[in-house]
Parts: sequence; structure tokens; C-alpha cells
Amino acid sequence: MPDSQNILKWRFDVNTFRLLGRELITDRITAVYELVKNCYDANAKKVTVSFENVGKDAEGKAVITIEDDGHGMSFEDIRDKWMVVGTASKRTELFSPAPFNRRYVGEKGIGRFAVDKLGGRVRIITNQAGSDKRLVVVIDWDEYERLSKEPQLELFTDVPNDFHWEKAPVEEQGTILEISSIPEHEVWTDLDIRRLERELEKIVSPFFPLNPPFNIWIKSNENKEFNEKLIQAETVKFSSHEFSIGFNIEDGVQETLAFDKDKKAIAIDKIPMKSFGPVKLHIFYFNEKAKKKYNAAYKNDDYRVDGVKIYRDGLITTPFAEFEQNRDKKRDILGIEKRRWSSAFDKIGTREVIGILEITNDDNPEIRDATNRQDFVDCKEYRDLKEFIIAQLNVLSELKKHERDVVKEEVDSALLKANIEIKEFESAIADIKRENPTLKTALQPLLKQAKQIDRSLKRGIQQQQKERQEHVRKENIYLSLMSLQDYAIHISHAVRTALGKVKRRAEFFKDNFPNPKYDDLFTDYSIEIYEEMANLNRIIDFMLSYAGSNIDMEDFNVRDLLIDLFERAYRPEFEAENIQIQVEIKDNFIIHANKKFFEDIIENLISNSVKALRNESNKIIKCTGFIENDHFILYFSDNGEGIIPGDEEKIFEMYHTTTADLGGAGVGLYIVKTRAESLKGSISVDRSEFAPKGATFKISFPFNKEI
Amino acid sequence: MIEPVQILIIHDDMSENDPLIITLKEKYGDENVKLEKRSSKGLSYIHNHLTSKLIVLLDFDLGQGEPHAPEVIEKIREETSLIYVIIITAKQFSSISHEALIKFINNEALGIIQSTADIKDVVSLVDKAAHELDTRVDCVLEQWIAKRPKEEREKPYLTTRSGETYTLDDLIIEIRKETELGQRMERGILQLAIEQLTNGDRQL
Repeated sequence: MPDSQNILKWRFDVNTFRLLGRELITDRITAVYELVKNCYDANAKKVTVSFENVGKDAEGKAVITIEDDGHGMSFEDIRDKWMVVGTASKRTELFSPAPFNRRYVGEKGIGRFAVDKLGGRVRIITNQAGSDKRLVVVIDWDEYERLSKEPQLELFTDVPNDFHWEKAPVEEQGTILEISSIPEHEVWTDLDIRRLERELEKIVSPFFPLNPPFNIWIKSNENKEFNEKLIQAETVKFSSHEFSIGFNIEDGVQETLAFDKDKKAIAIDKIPMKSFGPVKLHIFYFNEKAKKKYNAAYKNDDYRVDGVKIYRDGLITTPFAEFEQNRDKKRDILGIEKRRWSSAFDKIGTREVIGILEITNDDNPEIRDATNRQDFVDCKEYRDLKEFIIAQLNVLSELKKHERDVVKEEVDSALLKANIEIKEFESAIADIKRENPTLKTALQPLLKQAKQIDRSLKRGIQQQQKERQEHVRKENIYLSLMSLQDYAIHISHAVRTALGKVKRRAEFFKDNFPNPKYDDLFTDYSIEIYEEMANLNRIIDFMLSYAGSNIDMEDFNVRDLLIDLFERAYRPEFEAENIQIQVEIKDNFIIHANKKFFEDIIENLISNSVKALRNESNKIIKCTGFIENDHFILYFSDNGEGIIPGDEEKIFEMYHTTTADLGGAGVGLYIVKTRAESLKGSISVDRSEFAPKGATFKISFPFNKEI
Repeated sequence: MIEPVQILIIHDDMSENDPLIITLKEKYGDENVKLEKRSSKGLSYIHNHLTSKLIVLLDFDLGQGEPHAPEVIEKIREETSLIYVIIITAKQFSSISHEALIKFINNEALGIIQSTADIKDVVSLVDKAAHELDTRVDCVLEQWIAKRPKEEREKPYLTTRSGETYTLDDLIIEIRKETELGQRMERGILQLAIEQLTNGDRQL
């Protein structure tokens, strides 16, 4: 044991209070929020947050009181827990005693310092059930502040805080925090209090009612609206659709939303339980009409429609209550908006849905809060959960797209109908004129006007069609540009990886050539450098294909294009490799798309197959195309070495290659996939037509006859 | 025989004949340099070689479905802090997320280097790691033990208060696994060494 003379101890400068309070808690609303969470932990059924004279004419008389009817604190609780920094008492037990069974939320034991953010002085008045006296503790942060400015060292733990006892009725219980000495410039405006209300109303899940309840009231002596107002999540109004999914633990089944293409509606599917455990999701979707109604009612204040929130055991976990007025600055921890940016127009964003996702501590143990409370800990389960949420939103996207199409059709047919009606009107007038020639003069202006309306309508229809085409064209260009941002990231990665390979080989030459020991390596490296350069060239071409006029759309006959590619452009290569070709394109039609992209897809699939067939004696490449519903489907197959089971998704990644020996850089199928996506299509691996050998890709493009 | 330093490269886009691997093999011996393309396999290799003197060269992106570098390093640190990890990446440093960087720092990555760096720069980072491995208490102890005769190494060297006995070889494993006993031993050895150095006749 060391001599007591030779030891050193940590001490805390009086400044510590500032570090834990006003500097750790980002804003006043979060401060109140933290204190209200403490009431939750104290098993309160009712919390009242009162604001007195906090307006601009308060003249230093402002008081904020947070009063709860929780279990209160004993002298020992105050001395040994409340006033000990970082007390871990809550951490040893996860849940509060029955009947509350609440999961403790104030895990770090510093929420209590939030009072410092609100005012310079706090009176804690607390008593426990059954006790006939209440304890009053006064903490004067102003005094701490004063001491911190003194030249001599003052320790945080040496500052005395007064307490005394008062008589109290036995049935009284709970804790009151009375915060005063609020700086005059820290006015709480009506807007501030309303913001607080918005945050507090999200604390408890509206679909997982707590029993016993946890009711929060706001009181203000300066604002009638808050005379005594119970905070509760407003029922969601005006949403156009509402869906709810759950799970069944015994069967290991999780429900998920799915878009039923036949019924053109959202259905609920059952899937095996996911890695993150069972979840419930209640989701409200606001289509354009609903959003309009909503904005009219709430005067464009759309804070309530704020994306998906996650509740654990009925209490909010994310987005964590840090108030941010500017919606664009809100943290998008689930990546909902990011995904929107990188993809199409029909995607659903956070301002179109209200989602309540329920998890529990027992069922979803891997979804853990990050220590900074700003996200969850990154792990496979959390990533899967994010993917699951995005998948649900994608289903809503399909609904959104469908609704847009329906509106388009309705408008079209209404215009057409109007046109017919005008025609009927004209001929009716012509009939009257014929039967009653005396009315000719009277009817003439009417007829003239009808003709005029007819002309205007026709012009309108033409104009609308033109605009729509223009819109589609712009959308296509915009889509290509947006994917370009993604590509830029991929491509810089690809270029750097290729450069790294070339450079290391060149460096090896520089340092070791000539050396007979390495002759074989020198040969290998020179070939590899050559091939890597060729790959770089391909990558650059791919990138440049976005420049200039290549992103324009044009009409072309798919059958002609495919036959041209297979029977003319690639014929010499097929003959040289001794590959038999089977091309069966059933329907003959013209599509409006980017021809270059389409060619890229076919060329890369061919080159992929040629490599896969290298060890095959009887080589076949087969391409079948036909129209199915509103899609053009293309099956592309070869009887080559096939795809390793489990790699069906992986092969589309950049740099995934199984033919490195042939200079395969793993770029081809990546191009195929991104090109297909740029054309709003999709590609997947299907069961091989030549099973057990070979591979079959299924490519599907939306085929819109109107375009 | 003193255990040699082993180098494990976890990289999904590097071939066995890559000049970096050839150079490392030249320097550290063919059998001591290993390439793993899948990080999950790399992790199980590490799991089975916790007591080896291991340096890991870790690529950042490791393909779909495989744990990426931040997760890999975290998993390594769940098991041991004695393995040195060097991150290699084709990513722009500025595009690496803060969360990933925090993970690298908190999990003690020895270095991070761009995939276009010179081979010699990568090798010098590996050398640095190898040097640190060689000067660590467990490794020096190992070198000392290696010089003892076999029978001495196999006989109980230390008995704890609870009555468990440890041979010299056991002690190395305790230190590498960072058990309580291992940590105490390590502290004791360092203290003793410093006392020797400062009390003795100042001759190394």
C-alpha cells in the first residue's frame, strides 16, 4: 500500500458545473426535455412544466417549475445519488418497479444538470410517500459562477448547498424543481413554449399507451393557450393512407408492406423475422392531396409530418430531442432523404410520412443508443433495420407513382371528354339552326364561341402533351445527373484502385528490374499493367458517356437494335470464339429511351458471357425478349461456368470479378446494373436456362406506350 | 525458436502476386504473409491466432455482406489489443465518415494509408508495427524464454495465491490475452526492469 503522502487525487474545479450543464445540454428545450425524462424515471404519472413571468416584461421575476408526482427523494437519495455526479444507481436496474415497469431513460446521471441551462438558482422540494415532511435543497448556480471567477482554486465538491425540512401532508409525494434567476435576455416566447410542446408530445408513443400513464402538462400565466394544457400527441389528421404492421414471435414472422401490382394497392406480406428482431410500424402517408389539405389546416407548418421515429418500450429514442427549427438541418439518421437525393422522383421523403416504429429492449437488444445519443450504435442489425424502414417507404413510393399515373389518366380523359362534349354542343346548335333558320343570327355568336372553345381545348391538350414530354425529358436528364453523383464516388474509388495496382507494379519494376529471380513476375506485371490501363480506359469512357448529348432520349426499335448487335456488330467475335447465338425477340416495338445505355447493357452482358464460356466446348448465348404487361422483359443466358451460389447480388458490385485472369475488372456487370437503373429498369439473376450449367439474367424495363 | 511476425492482409481486390505481397514475403518470409479476400474469414483467422505476433493490413471496403474495416477493427478489439492494424483505402480521406474515423482511433489503428501509396511507405508502417511487436514485454519475455532449456520452460514457474501454477509459456499466453494475471505480470516486469536499470551499474 503506498504511503498516504504519496498519492494524488482528482479534484473538480468549480467550473465543472458549467461543463455538465449549460455546455453539455445544447439548448433550453432539450434541458426541459431531460428534466421531464427524469420525472419519467421517478415513476411520475403527471408532470407539470410551469412558466411564470418568462415573457419579455418579466423583470427578473421569471420562474420555471417542473413538478411531478413521482416517488420523490429521501435525504439519502439527494445526498448519495442526486448530488453525486454520474451516479450509476439507475444503471444497475433496467426497469422501474411494477406496476410501472418503465425502462430507465436517464442512464448517465447528468440530466439533472440541465437546470443550469435554464436558470441560475434551483430549489428542489421533494418528499416521499408516507413522510410528513418535505426536504428543500437550494442550489445557487450563480454562486458557483461567482466562485469560478475567483482567483483562488475553488472545488466543485466544496461549494456548500443549503437544505432544510418543512412539514408536509403525509399523502403528498413527488419532486418540484423551481428554477429562478433566469437571465432577463432568456425570454421564453409563446413560440418557444409551443416548440417545447411539440417536442414533449413526441416523448411517448401514441400507439403504445403507457399504463400507468405519463401525462405532461404545460402551464403559463402569460399565455391563455397554456392556461393548463395537457400535452398529447395529436391524432394524425388528413393523412391519405394508414398502415400498420406487426409480427408473430411464435411463427418467427415479421409483417412487411408490399405493393400488389394487380390490385394497385398496398398489402401486408409476411417474411421471416429479421436480424434486428420483431418490430411494429404504424405509418401514415400523405399524398399530394392530403398534403395540401394538411398545409391549409396547419398553415404550412409541417413539423408534424416528420418521417419515421423510433420508440423503445413506448418512449422516444430517435430522432433524439435536440431542437432544430430548420428542417433541412435536422439530422437524417435513417438516411431517408439521402436516399431520395440519390434516386428517383417517386421516392417518399420524410415530409410525406409519419411513422412510429416500436422496438423493445427485450426483443431488439442489438438496437442500442450510441453514447452521444445522436444515433444508434452502428452494427449489422441496425443497418438491417434501416434497410427495412427504407423498404417500407419504397412500397409507399410505388403507391405514389401509381397515384400519379391515375391522376394523369383522369386529366387526360377529362380533357378528351370535354372535347367531345363541345363537339356535341356544336352539332346540337347546328341542328337547331337547321330546324329554325330564324334563330341563325341569335345562335351565330354561340357557335363562334363554341368553336373557339374547341380550338382552345385542342391547343390545351397539345400543350399538355408537349409539356409532359418535356417533363419526362427533363426528369430523365435530371435522373442521369443525380446518379452521376453516385457514380463519381464509385468511379473515383475505381480509378484510385486501378492506379494503385498499376503503381505498385511499376514501383516493383523500378526497384527490382532487372533481376532474373523475378522474370516471371515481370512478365505477369507487364500484362496486368496493360490490362489495368485498358480497364481504366473503360471506366473513363463509361464516365464520359454522361457528358454531352449521350444522355438524350431517342426512339428506337428494340428488336432491330438487338439483331443488329448480335448478328452484325458481334458476329466476328462470336465466330472467332465459336459461340452459337439464339436471338428470339417476340414483339416488334419502338421504345423511347437512351439508346447508348441500352447498347451498353447488351455489350457488357455479351462480353461477360464470352468470358464465362471460355472453358466450354459447346458455347451458346441466348437472348429472348417479349412484352409482359407494361414491361419489356429480356432474358439473357449462356451455358458457361455460371454464378457461384450466394454471389447473385455481389456480382453487380464494382470490382467483383471471377475472371481476373482474363482481364475482368468487375466493371461490366456494374455498368449493366447502373445503366438498367438509369433507364428505370432492373436486372436480377434468374434460374439458369441451361441449368445445372450457365447463367441467366432477367432484365426488365418499364414500357410506357404513351411515351 | 522465436515466433516470427505474421502479416495478414484482408483485401478483396488484391492478388497473391501483388508486388506489395511479394515485397512483404521477401522481407518477412513466404509462410508469414497471408492474404484473405473475405473479412469474415480474416476475422476467424485472427480468432485462431490470438497469441501470435500478428499485423493486419486491412482494406476499407470489403464487398457486400462482409464486415467493413470499422466493424472488423472493432471485432478484433473485442478479442485482443495486441494485434496491430493498418488501414488501406482507396477512399478520399475526407470522404471517410467521422464515425469510421472515431472507430479507427478508439480501436487503436496503427495507421491509415491510401491504396495508391508507395509500397515502401506501406512496408515502413509494417516495419514500425513489427518493431513495436518486438519490443513489447510479451515478445521480449518470449525471446528470453526461447533461450531457456526445454525442461525449464515446462516446469511450474509461478504459483498464484489461489494455487494455480503457470509455466513460462503459460505466462506469455496470459500476457497476450491480457488477463488480470497477465497485466499484473507485465507491470511487475517493467517495474523490475526499470529498477534494475536505475540501481545497477548502468550497463545494458
